Amino acid sequence: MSEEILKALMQLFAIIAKQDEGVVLEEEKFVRIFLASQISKTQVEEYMDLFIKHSEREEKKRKKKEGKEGPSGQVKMVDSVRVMGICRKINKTLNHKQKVIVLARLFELINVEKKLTEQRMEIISVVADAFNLTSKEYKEIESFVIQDDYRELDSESVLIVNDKEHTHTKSQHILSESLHGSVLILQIKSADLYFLKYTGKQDVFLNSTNVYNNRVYLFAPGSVIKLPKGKPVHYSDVVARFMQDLEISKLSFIVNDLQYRFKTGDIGVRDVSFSVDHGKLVGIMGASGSGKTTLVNTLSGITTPSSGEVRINGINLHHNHGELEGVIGYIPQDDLLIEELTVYQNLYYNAKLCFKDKNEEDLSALVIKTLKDLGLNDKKDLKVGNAMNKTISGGQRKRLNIALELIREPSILFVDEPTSGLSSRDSENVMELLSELTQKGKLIFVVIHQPSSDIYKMFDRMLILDQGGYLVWYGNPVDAVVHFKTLDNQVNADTGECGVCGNVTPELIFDIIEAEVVDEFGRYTEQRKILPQEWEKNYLEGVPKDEIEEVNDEPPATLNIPNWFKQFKIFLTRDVLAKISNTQYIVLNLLEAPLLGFILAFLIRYIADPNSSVYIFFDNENIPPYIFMSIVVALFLGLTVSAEEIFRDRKILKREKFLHLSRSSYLMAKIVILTSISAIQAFLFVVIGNAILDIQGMYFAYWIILFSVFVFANFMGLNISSAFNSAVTIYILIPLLMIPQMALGGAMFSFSKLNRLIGSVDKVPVIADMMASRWAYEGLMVYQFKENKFEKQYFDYDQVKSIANFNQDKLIPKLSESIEAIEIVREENEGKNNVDSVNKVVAYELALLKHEIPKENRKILELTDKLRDFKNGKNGKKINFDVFYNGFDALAADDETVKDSLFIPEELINALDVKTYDVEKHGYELMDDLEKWKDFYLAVYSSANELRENLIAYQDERKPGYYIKFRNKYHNEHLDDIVRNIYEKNKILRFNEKLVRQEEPIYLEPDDSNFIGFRSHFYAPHKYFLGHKFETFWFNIFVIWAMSILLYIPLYYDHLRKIVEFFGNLNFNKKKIKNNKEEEQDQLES
Amino acid sequence: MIKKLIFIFSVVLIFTACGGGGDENTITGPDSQNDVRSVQIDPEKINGLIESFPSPIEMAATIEDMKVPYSKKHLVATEIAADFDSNFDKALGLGMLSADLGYLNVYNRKNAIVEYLTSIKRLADALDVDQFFEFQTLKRLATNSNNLDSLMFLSVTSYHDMDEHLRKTRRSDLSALMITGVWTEGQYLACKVNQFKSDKKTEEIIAGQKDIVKELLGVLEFFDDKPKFKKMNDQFRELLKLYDTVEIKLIEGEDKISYDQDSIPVIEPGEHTDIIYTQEDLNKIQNKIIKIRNNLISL
Repeated sequence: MSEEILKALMQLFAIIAKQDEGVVLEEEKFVRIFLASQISKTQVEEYMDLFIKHSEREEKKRKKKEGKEGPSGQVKMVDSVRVMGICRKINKTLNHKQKVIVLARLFELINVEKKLTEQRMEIISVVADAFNLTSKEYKEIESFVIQDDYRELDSESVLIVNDKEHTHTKSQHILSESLHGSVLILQIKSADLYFLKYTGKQDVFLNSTNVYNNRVYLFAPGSVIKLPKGKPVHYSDVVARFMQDLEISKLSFIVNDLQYRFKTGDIGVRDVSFSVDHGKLVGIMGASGSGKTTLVNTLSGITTPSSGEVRINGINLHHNHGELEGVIGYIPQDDLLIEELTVYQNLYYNAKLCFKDKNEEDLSALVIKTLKDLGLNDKKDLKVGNAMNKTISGGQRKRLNIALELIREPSILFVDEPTSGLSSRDSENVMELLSELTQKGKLIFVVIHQPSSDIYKMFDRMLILDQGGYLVWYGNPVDAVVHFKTLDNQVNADTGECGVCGNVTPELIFDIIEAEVVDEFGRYTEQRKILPQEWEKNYLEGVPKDEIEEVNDEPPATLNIPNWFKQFKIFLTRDVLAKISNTQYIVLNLLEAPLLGFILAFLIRYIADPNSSVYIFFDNENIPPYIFMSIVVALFLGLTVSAEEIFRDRKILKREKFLHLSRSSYLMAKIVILTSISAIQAFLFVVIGNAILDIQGMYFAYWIILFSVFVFANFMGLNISSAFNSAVTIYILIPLLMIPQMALGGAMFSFSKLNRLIGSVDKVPVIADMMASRWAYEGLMVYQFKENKFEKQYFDYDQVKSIANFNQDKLIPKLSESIEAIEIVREENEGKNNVDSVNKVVAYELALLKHEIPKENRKILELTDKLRDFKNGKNGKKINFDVFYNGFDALAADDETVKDSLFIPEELINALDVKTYDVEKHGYELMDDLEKWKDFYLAVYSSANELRENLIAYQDERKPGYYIKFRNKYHNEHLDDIVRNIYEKNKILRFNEKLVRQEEPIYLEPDDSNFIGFRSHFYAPHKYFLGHKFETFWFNIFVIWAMSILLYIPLYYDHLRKIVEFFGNLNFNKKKIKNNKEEEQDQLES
Repeated sequence: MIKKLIFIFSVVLIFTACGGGGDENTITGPDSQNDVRSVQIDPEKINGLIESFPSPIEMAATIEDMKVPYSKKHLVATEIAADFDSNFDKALGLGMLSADLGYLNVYNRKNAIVEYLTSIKRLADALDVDQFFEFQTLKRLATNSNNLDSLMFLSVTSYHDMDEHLRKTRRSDLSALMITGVWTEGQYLACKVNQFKSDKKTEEIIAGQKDIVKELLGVLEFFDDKPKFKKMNDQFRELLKLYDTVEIKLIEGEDKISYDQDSIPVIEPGEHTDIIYTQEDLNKIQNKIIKIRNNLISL
């Protein structure tokens, strides 16, 4: 109490006391006692002087002035004015509770000598008015202080403790064993205060100090009244009586032999049993490592115990947790707030996720009410911010955290260290808040560390754990001190709190529990005097246990979560709001992509001709690297934008899991937001980059590929962000994910020139097929080549030309070589005795022929089909041409005729076996057939070439310079070189029995013999899958999306996290188990 | 903030909208393509041409004798060759660069040889006749050997093979163009050298091309219906006209046998041709050849 207030109070006391005949001795004595309870003894005299001076001097002055006694029975105007002045002063500094206390003291003052004159009462009523007290409360305080007879006090605000039968209708009653007089308790609802007085003559103790007859005491939370006989009355008992009127649902929380064993074998919680009912604030204390958090996790149902059970109203928490959905709330130690949102928004979206039936108005009203209750209403539009960038204080953050759970008012609430890091004022506020909740019938468990005396006393029950998860105390907090002091044989062991100041020292408990043995030199050893096991034994044997009646009602659940889609919508709005409010984030994300696009494109916008200043797209050699870099940019941006998403929300997620909210709707909201950001980023990048490089007509293609890669990277990022524990780990991981994507993207290293262990000659290696970059790069390269406005006109012709030219020039000669090789080896070794080695060579060559010839047979039909398409106008207009060879038009004939005249017959192919093959018979026939093929391909080549040449001639005639103009504008030479693989020296390779075409992969259709196999060579123009032919571009996009969707599965089930945790457990805990076991052994031995 | 973003967005959108404009439409093929088959030349005719043709080696040998300093300016720059778009240009260019390769060979310019070989390969690739050039071998020869004879690939036989292939794929026009390229560039180089340092032998070679031009034109005229050919042929026809005043007489005589210092007999043919021309005629012809060549590469 401040000096000023005390002075004001002294004046008030003086003014009241001096009315009617002045101050009497008893009153002076009361003031002295009152002062002694507030300030030190030396100061008491100072204030007493003040009191006396005011009461006497004023009196004398007045007498002097008037010369005679004024009319009695009337308050002087001067006094009224002065009282008002003092009250105004008090109003500014004292809160409601304190004002109520002041008022009670005033009544007490006049009650000392029962001088209840009108003037005195009038002044008190002026004070009550000035303090804004209701007349009801004023009357209640008055009668409580003044009435000595309990029978006169029949009000719902009064509780009577005595040994008489209860005859009142309104007041509450607690029956005690033979007690002289009554203990009366008054509840002041508006201030949440309780006053106590005792009318009898026995020794009654309030918190171990004597209660004087008819003196009014404040009955603070955590207090206990000890009566001469019978059970002490706890604060909570009193509160419970008053709360009976409220609709309180009964709860029973019974824990039986609960044990939790870690996967490593360590025991976290050991055979804990206790029971508690509703309306209790239970503290959980213990040194670090004693298993507090483990206990809370097990009690709250987050983890399942190894043995034992927790029954809430008879329902097993761990086996029937479905029935208890919404009953339990959990407030972890860490912040659960979304930094970017305001205080109001944080609470609002949280509430929205809890109550599906409430409409906007109700919801908003509820949020405002909760904020008001917690004193946060004036901060509601402030952003929460983070520890570095504070806008609200630590205490306010904590309160908001609690509000998140509070708003849905779960019946049982677990709070993990709510006061850590808070000032003592904030700590008390938070604890008072929880304490108030218990008065409404909630059961609250609080893990608490080094509580102050006041906080410690607020608890109704205290649960103390010792190292190794031993339960060493469960019961009244103050009794705990007595219990341990007694066991430690301390002086004064029977008083739990300081007789003078009422303070409790909970630290003492731990000093006793953890006391170490002192060696002969007076040094502490690391050995404990008393082991946890012994403390447990002492508790189990020496302390009577509370018996709680098991309730069988269904526990009230307060959770009503909305459906999947509504949750998704809430998550979405919440995330969007959080993102939008972070200006830095938005600006960076929106500018990064176009800026990179600009830098990249600007750097590589290159004019090939030194004498020219005109940029020609065709000549820019940097287009393929640009494509690749774009993909790398997409991967990087996509990964970084998502890499922290879930990680940041981790704590919130833990809580939301508690609420049984849908993970998939949460993830879907994230995905929708990230893909939207990605779509915009990809768009801005492409728009800037492609415009600078003058890539014409490809905006959509680039966008959709980059967008797909972005999304893939988003999924990858979400996976790692959900799996790892720190931002640093996540950023360390990024290169590990990126480098393979870059190396196996197809742009840096040729797939045919990789390590043989992973490489394959005719197809992209499997490991590269797992890279999104490879699909994206191929898709875009193929599309840029094939679908640009220039090449699109000629691609079909070019493809036929390429196939025909390759077959007649490279493939057929290779086949002929094989036939000749057989002939030579047989001739040279004729008559010699080395059949085996000859046969080996023959078999090797025949294998090639046997594999390639049927394949080529089929390709002939494909080719004639394609040419017929040209002719019939599938690609535009009908064209009259033929493929004329050996006097025979292959296009005019039907398939059968083509087969007859061109196919190498089945019988001949069947004869390609070491035993049956005959050089003169089969070899020569084959050679003849291959000659036919050669002529056919030459004819095909000629026709396709002419079609192309004629088209160009026609175009140039209509519009001179057309061909070059289009080529320069839409086509790129370097890209053309790459997809046609012109730098490859070996145009054809033999790989076992296969001939692999390395020339112009862009024209080579992939092998379609495998129905589900979609793998192909790099830069294939089409892909075959499930018997259908797809454009490479679209197919690759499909593959990237399929990969993204596949990544959703581990994301949903959090597979990666589980794997990471599995390995984490493996590596680090073995040592620990060993150490722990050794320690235990040592302790037991000692 | 939001307003700013909207502003940026709209700027970007306008920007792209503008960028998207100005696209031309492609021209699809003719409504009807009646018999698109190319004109085919009588193989005899072109064979005759190839045989009576001065190979690039001969041309180069003559130039070598003249001891005129090397000048890269005379050659078709490879950058220009890279810009040859149509098959017409490519075939002509292939011939011309081959002739240039002969010239470079004489002066043993290794770096330039590699550069020209690369260019030739590109053109050959584009025409799908690369199988007739052994580029790897050529490159090795050009870079490692002092006594290089990289020109052997342009021998008569390889021309025959290539021509046969082109004919089979109905592309005789390319064959004719390649020969035209070799001839034009060879003569151009001769003219340039001769202009720098006048030489009787060179002059006679230039003046003596009358019959070859006639034969060449005989082949080229098959393709007169194609606009590009028409334009080129017209110039050759003008050139042929300039040769009207040149007279070539065949003089018969006995072969003479003499012995060199190693006593190896050397036969000097008695039969030789007398070429009668005025300096003015020659100048006109030279200028015309230079003009034709320059026109061809600037097509």
